[in-house]
Amino acid sequence: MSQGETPVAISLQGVSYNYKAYNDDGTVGSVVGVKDVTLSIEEGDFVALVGHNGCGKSTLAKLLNGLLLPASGSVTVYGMDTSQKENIFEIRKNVGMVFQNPDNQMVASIVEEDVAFGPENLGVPQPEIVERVQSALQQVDMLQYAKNSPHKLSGGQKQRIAIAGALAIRPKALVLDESTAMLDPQGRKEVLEVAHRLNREGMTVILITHFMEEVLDCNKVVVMSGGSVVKTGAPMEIFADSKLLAEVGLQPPRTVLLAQKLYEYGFDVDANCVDARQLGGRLCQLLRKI
Amino acid sequence: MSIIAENLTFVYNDKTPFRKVALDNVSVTVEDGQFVAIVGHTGSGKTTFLQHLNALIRVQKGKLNVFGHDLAAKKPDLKALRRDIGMVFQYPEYQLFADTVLEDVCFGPKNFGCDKETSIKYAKEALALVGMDADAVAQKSPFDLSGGEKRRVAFAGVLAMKPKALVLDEPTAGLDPRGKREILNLVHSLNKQQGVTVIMVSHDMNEVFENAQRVLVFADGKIAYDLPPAQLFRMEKEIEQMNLEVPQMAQFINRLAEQGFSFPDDCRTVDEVFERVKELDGGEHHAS
Repeated sequence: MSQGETPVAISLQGVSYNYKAYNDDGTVGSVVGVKDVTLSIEEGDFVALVGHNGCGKSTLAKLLNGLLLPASGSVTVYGMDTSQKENIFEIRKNVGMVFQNPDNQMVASIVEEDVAFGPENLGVPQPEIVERVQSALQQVDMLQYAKNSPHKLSGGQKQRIAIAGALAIRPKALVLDESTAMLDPQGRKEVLEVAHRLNREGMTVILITHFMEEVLDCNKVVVMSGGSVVKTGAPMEIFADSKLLAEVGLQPPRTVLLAQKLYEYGFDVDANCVDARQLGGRLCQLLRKI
Repeated sequence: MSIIAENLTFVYNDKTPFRKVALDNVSVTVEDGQFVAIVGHTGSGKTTFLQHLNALIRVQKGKLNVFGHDLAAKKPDLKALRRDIGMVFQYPEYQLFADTVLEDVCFGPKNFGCDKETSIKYAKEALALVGMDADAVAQKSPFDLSGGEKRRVAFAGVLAMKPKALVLDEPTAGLDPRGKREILNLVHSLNKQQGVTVIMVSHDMNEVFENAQRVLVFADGKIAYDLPPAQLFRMEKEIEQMNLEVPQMAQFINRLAEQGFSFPDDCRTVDEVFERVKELDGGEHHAS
């Protein structure tokens, strides 16, 4: 598809990570976080990371910017190995993270101060901070709230502020760890629109989600189960693998599921149809012909 | 009849510049054993309405009768009311607190004056209802369970009080697809098998379409629509004007219905829709 290689943003080579767990008898054991994951995320990718609770998605996310370090294997972020201490600062400047609960990520009482937290910590000079905060808020369409108090905003607005906070560090990649899970449909839409716009402008986006409808618009899907990556592919490749999806407890969006059933039954429909109205229209044509 | 609200009005911060009418003359009756979904976006009055049902906020104006308890009275019997109405808030797993699962689930019945044996009996029954092996999890810390399991334990804590109605505020929010299905199946079977009245707030219109018998659409503190899901989601334009989504299967059905292909009102899931299409096709369509 491409002429020449797309530069790799983040690559994982045989990465494993275990959590410590305390057994009932007081001894220390371990629980698998991720197991032997090899994965490469290219610059400009919009990757969806899916799988049921406890499959290792969030552990993987935390390995991407050195919040966790691999027990074995290596994570390379824009050419830098996360296990090298001297790289961590630079790595975290490159990979921004936004988490699930909007209320847990606000650190200041005024929106613009919250967004300024990152660059302030990096020692960015004051005039540049002001400029970065302005442009970050502009990117998430929240500039008019710069002087507001974050706790009065809606969930979607808070998450956009959290994204702005990450953007103010000027990262090349953004990890959204279930950042839409706690939002109402309106808030989810706002956050996703921002993520897709940033991606079109060149940002690499890694989206962890339980909403299969959100997966449709990504260019690559990574399915995890039991700490391992069990499949990587385009959304439709993943949705077509119903056996795998059942195993990992996922389901394609309802329309795709219906289109697949109709296609298998013998109707001449697009088995990858994602638009229920379009599918309904097509079926009208087919049923009338009989 | 389990719940009768008449001209219920509630105003936050009355007589201040922040005055906000949250409920505006709401009248609605919910029959025993119904499965009612409440939809509407943030700020439409859904939560204020729910909080009334459990007397978390008191009636300001209008009448409200919940299982025979007159909540507009000066001193309603709140303890009896709260035994009848099981309230499951958003993210109920955040409210788990005890050292063991059994203790946590026992908390409700104990508080309502059951002795130890009865509380444990109710707790174990409740854990079984939510599909958990009571003996295996009873002594575990609730905090060692997965997200979906924690939520089921929190549900069990409410069910152990043997409520006549369950009031659920976004019961599937934040769960993975499997956890969502588990919770919905549970709510469904409590409603069908135990006859528990269910009132569920949800933002997921697909979920509402498939599960509810009746949908109340809240907008600006009023009930804008009160219809069975099949009828409600036929009105695509009105639904979208209220910034709500039309469920995917309803979109599909509506397209076909426009062309004269009829779908019965109880045809709502992917499988039901698929079966109906095969019927319409007359089973003669096998070319591919």
